[in-house]
Amino acid sequence: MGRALLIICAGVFVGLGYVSIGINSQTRSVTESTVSYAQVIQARNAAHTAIQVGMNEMNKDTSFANTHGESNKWKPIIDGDTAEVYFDVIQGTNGYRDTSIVRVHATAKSGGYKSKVISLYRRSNFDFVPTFTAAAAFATNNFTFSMGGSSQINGNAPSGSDCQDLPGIATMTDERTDYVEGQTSGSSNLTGNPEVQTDPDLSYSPVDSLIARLRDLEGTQFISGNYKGGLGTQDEPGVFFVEDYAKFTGGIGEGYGILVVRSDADMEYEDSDGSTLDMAGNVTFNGLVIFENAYNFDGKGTPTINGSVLVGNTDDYSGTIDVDISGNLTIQYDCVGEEYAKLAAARMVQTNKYKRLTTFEDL
Amino acid sequence: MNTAYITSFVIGGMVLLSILTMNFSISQNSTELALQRNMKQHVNTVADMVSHDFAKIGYNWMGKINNPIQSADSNKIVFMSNIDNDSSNDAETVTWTFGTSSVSSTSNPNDYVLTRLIVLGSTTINKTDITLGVTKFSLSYYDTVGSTTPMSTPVANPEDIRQIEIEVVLQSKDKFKATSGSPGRYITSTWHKRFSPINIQDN
Repeated sequence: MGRALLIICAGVFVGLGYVSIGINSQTRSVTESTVSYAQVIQARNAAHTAIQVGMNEMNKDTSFANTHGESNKWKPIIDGDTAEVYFDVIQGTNGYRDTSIVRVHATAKSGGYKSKVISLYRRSNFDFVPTFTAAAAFATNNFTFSMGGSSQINGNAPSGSDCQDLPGIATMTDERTDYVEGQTSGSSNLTGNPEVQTDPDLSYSPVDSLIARLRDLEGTQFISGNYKGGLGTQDEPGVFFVEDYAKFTGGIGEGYGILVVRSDADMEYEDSDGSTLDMAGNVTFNGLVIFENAYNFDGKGTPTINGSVLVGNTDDYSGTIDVDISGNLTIQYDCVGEEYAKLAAARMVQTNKYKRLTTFEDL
Repeated sequence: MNTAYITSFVIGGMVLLSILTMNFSISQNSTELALQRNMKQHVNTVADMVSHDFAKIGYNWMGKINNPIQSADSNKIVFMSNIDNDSSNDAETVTWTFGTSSVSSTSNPNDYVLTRLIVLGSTTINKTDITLGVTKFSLSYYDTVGSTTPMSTPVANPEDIRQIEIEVVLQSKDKFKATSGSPGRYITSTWHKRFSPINIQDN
């Protein structure tokens, strides 16, 4: 009996073993099906993430898209999965102030599954610089104003330009407009369309944030003392801060970008203290000149500002800004100067905005 | 005969009968599992086709298509998409319709023809009749992502659609009978998904 039972038991074990193998293979089949679905989704997510990371690289380096075409794919590792990304710049040159359209192709692989995502983006830079509203704009009500000598403020577009005529001076309230008109009554040196205008939308609040941001950026130049250096070029306009006495001592023909003359908010501003910019000689600055919490501008030569001048104060400043336009200073509104200012800010801030135009998902 | 042998044979016979019964049961289960897996593959095939098309609603080479969904009903949807990613920027009209005519080649009276039609201009690019045993192809539409209230169908303003929920049920062509005397039942497989086509979302 013992031998027969042993044979039977052995047969039972063999039979159960076959059954177990069969059940295991079916369970594995169901599990594989679930895993494959997860891997497909993982691959698609990795492709989308690769595009986002690629755009971040493109944001940091304007040549990134141009150097990573189909023949030189960028291959990031996304959460352990491999991805291949390449860019097709189909419009624009991807420059700082350039609106470009870029098609980003990403293929990601997870397990044995691939997913391809193609997204089309329009890239443009943030315009931190406010739109010019006048040759000289007063984004504060705490100012005094006088104008004399051979100085000129002209809001009319330069001849031959594509600019629109703007007011010579813009203020925030009718009361301030009346005041400025009273100070410049009969002067032929103030011109514009009109000469003085109230702009209730005028505000210094976004500009102070811009200045605070620009001040801390690498590449911003601080000018003090006797200065003979460069002031930017047409292709590479700069951002310049004057927070102490500074004098352009000659030899500087033209400057481009944004020039900020400011009094430190912690300092008590008085006429002879604070920031003073002495523009001697025939310096021409093309762009935006901002006077923050201060106006100390000594134009003994024939300095010219092609663009716009903005005077304003920060929220924590309660003093009066005494604006005296004298000497041979010329403030000529120019929309080209606005572009220099925007380019200068874009070069410094290097932050672009991307609008997704369309996306193709091939699962 | 030796009592021991008789006892052994009785026990062995019972064990053998048990194994045979278990084997039969497992065999039935395996058949059912195989059928289920087969149905799962069929439903995956339909799901892949639907996912392929629905993910591309509103896509075109140079930008989104404005108001790509032309009509939306509970059993039919018509939308525009550059489904083949053609750089000529020509968008095709894609139609998914769940028909009312039963598939004649199966004994299952519940399955109907699901049709995928792609037309470019007036030219039919592709027409696929899916006869894999689709017994339900139900579409629901939502005007906000995550909404729990579907839009009434047919949707009066298809341009407001942001999500599309789809339920596909497939049944086997023939009934599965556990025993010869049982009435049997159709093996069913269901796929349910809510799509948020990326090109109809607000940026």
